Amino acid sequence: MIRVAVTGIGVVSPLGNSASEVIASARAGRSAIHRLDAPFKARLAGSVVASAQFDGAGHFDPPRLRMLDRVSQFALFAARQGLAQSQLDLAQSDRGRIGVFIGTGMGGTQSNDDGYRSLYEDGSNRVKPFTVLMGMYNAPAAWIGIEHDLHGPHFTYSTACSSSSVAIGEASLRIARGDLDVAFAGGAEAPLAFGSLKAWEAMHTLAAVDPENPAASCKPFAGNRSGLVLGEGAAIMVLEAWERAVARGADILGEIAGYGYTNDPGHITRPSMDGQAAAITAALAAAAVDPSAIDAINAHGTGTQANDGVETRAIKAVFGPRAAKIPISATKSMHGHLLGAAGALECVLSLLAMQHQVALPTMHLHVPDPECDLDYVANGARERVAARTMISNSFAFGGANAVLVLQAAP
Amino acid sequence: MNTTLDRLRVLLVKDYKLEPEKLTPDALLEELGIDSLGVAELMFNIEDEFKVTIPGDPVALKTVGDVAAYIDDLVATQQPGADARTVVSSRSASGQ
Repeated sequence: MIRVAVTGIGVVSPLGNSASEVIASARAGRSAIHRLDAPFKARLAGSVVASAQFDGAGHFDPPRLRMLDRVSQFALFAARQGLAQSQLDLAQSDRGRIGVFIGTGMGGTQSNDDGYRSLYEDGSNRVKPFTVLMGMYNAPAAWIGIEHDLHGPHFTYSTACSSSSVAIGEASLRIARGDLDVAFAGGAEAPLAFGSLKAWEAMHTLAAVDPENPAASCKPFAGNRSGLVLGEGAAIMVLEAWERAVARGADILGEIAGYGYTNDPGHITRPSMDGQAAAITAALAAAAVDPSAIDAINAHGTGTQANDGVETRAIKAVFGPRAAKIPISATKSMHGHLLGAAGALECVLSLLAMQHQVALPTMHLHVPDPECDLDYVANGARERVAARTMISNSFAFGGANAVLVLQAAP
Repeated sequence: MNTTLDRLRVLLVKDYKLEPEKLTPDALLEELGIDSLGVAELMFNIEDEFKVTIPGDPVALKTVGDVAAYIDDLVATQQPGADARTVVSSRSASGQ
């Protein structure tokens, strides 16, 4: 099997629009969660979100921008950053062996929302001609291929909250097998449209607004956790066959060492401890590492009642008594839940945390929950943690559990 | 009073952030970054600006001047006072 190197990282997120910004924000424990400021905010009950400070007008020509939903804008800008950092010379590469693997849970949400608004609210009989192209789930991946003239496969994975971990995992398998030299892999999500916010509200999974500090509304693993906070953004990496990266003198930022996937067929939303534990075990087996090799964990850690207790039990089931000694970070406490982009952002944060030798914090964890009794790096980063191998967990509505094993740069 | 070309220019500057001096009648849409799909989207905005209904049948519009002439044509047939039968027949011919 060919090893899979990470040679570029691109991010658009609530914590910043570059790798250096997001690691600095996360390390400082800065939450980007805030009260929603939108014309429709009065019609939402719990209105905290984590938005990205991003205006596509600065990054795209106007005729192109008119064809790009926010989700594709995020993806394109993140992919550009990753490509720039990788210093990959596309002109010298076999473009047929470069693929694009993107996860998104909801696609072009804003464009679909706009179309329905004009039909149902404005009573118009017209929707914008680009609505299909902007709303379709594969648009972000397709646009990356178009912008960089890539001829390899471009695939879109939609497994809800694990979409981008699946995309990264599947991309890494293609490279490991020798099918591709390079892949753009990650996820993008832009779910902060009125219609989708209402739909999430109706699920009763969104966090109540913390009245004293709205930024602290997402409280993973805490006794007073009340749900998730929706976030938006993209994280896209350039993955590359190891020897190829070495041969061209690329700066290797880390390694996708293993990928485990299991399906929970029991229920559409209820997580299963066995399924989550099996996904972790499968990822460790794929990476050929023993549980004792795992130095730190980026948890799925949504801040929902259902997830955090089950995830804690799954970690205990795999790691046994040592589970209590492994630093576990739930960074969603700061950047919110980016749904189909969450796994990619957390994968990137994990690689950066290892590079900076820090365990990132789980913020807003002041009220303990007896069911969640592990080391969550509560309320502040832990410095000088020399982690070399981490796992990043993503568990999803629909039952798709995906776990990545990540290795620090050599 | 503004000519159709002036009004079209305003729309292109506002929505497409194009430079006004580039918008001569013989400027090619393709070279301005508006391809055939872009023209379809531009028609949508023209309907709003000029209060006309674009028929379904495809028309070949290559330049800014072509678009202005096409708008004039639509306004002439669809404006209040135009022969209603002309409008109806053109719409039914387009399958709308």
